[in-house]
Amino acid sequence: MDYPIALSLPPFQFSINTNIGFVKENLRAIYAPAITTDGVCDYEINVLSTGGVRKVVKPQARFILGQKEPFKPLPLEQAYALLEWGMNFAVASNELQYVIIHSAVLAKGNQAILFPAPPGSGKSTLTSYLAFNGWRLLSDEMALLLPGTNRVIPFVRPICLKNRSIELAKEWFPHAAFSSIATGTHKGNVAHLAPPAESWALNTQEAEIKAIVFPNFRESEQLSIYQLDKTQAFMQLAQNAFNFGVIGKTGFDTLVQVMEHADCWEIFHNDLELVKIFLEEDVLGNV
Amino acid sequence: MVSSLEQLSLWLGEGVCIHPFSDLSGTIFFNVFTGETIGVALQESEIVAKLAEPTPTDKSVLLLVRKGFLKKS
Repeated sequence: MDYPIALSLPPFQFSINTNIGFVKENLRAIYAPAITTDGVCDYEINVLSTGGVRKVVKPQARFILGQKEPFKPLPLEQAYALLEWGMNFAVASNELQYVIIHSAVLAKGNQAILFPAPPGSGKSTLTSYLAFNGWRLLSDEMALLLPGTNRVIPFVRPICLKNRSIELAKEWFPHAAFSSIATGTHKGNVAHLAPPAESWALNTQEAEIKAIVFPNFRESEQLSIYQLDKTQAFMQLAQNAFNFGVIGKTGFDTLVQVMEHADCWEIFHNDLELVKIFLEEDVLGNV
Repeated sequence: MVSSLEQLSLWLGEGVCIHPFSDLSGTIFFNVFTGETIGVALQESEIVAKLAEPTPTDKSVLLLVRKGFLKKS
């Protein structure tokens, strides 16, 4: 008999049941430090292969959260990516005690930088580069802000890499754990990269937001840096907030707090090492 | 003496919060009922001055009035 895999991913706990072999293998490879025997969970998830004729004709995977199935099934080979996206959905749509922003979060010590960005901006490539080069990963996908403060708590999960960045990351970090590649998704090819051990180890240590950097990958620009004023940056940040409009004044006050304590930048780059130097020397060095 | 922020608060629509940023780059308006947010590159004193004009013409201020963030009078 199969038992669910329980994951302790502070501040939440997940129980994941699946009958798809490679999803189990990916979970065990990617989440090894987070697997727990604690039976208490916040989210009960099933990722199941479809039955009937779909077992043989274009087999699919279903994502079920509690008693609900929020998405249509996807091709079976995308089952693991479906699980990761579904976990993001579960948190973003249920956790109203945090102000949640679509943003990567990385820290040096307890000084954090938010990297809010739309898909295709190179956010995850930058995240993986920093996380494996001396920075602490708090999150690749969502920043959980403590209401009324300028502090962020970690939600350490794998980094979602797309298309060309998968091969790059495999070259850069040959000893890291990668999931299998989901091909032909709406984002192209997708693979997940396990966070470094240090990030797992510090996954309950909150950090203070010192800066907000909006990254943009540009093939033609080595590094261009623009400082944003607080009004511009607030509007950009609010566009990336999942639940800002839902939680009302608490969300507004929190983003104001963050903005008043942070320097804000927009960067266009094709050189990750230059970005890292800029962040360490100019952004965190001067705050 | 009444501050410009206090003066501006008299013009606010129902459920509207504002924050003028410390870098003087502008002011953010947020409607707690609709979740709508607008940022304008005007400080609160400039907004009050433009509202006090007999016929306000500033596009930012007119937008704020049209969207219900500010009352007409």
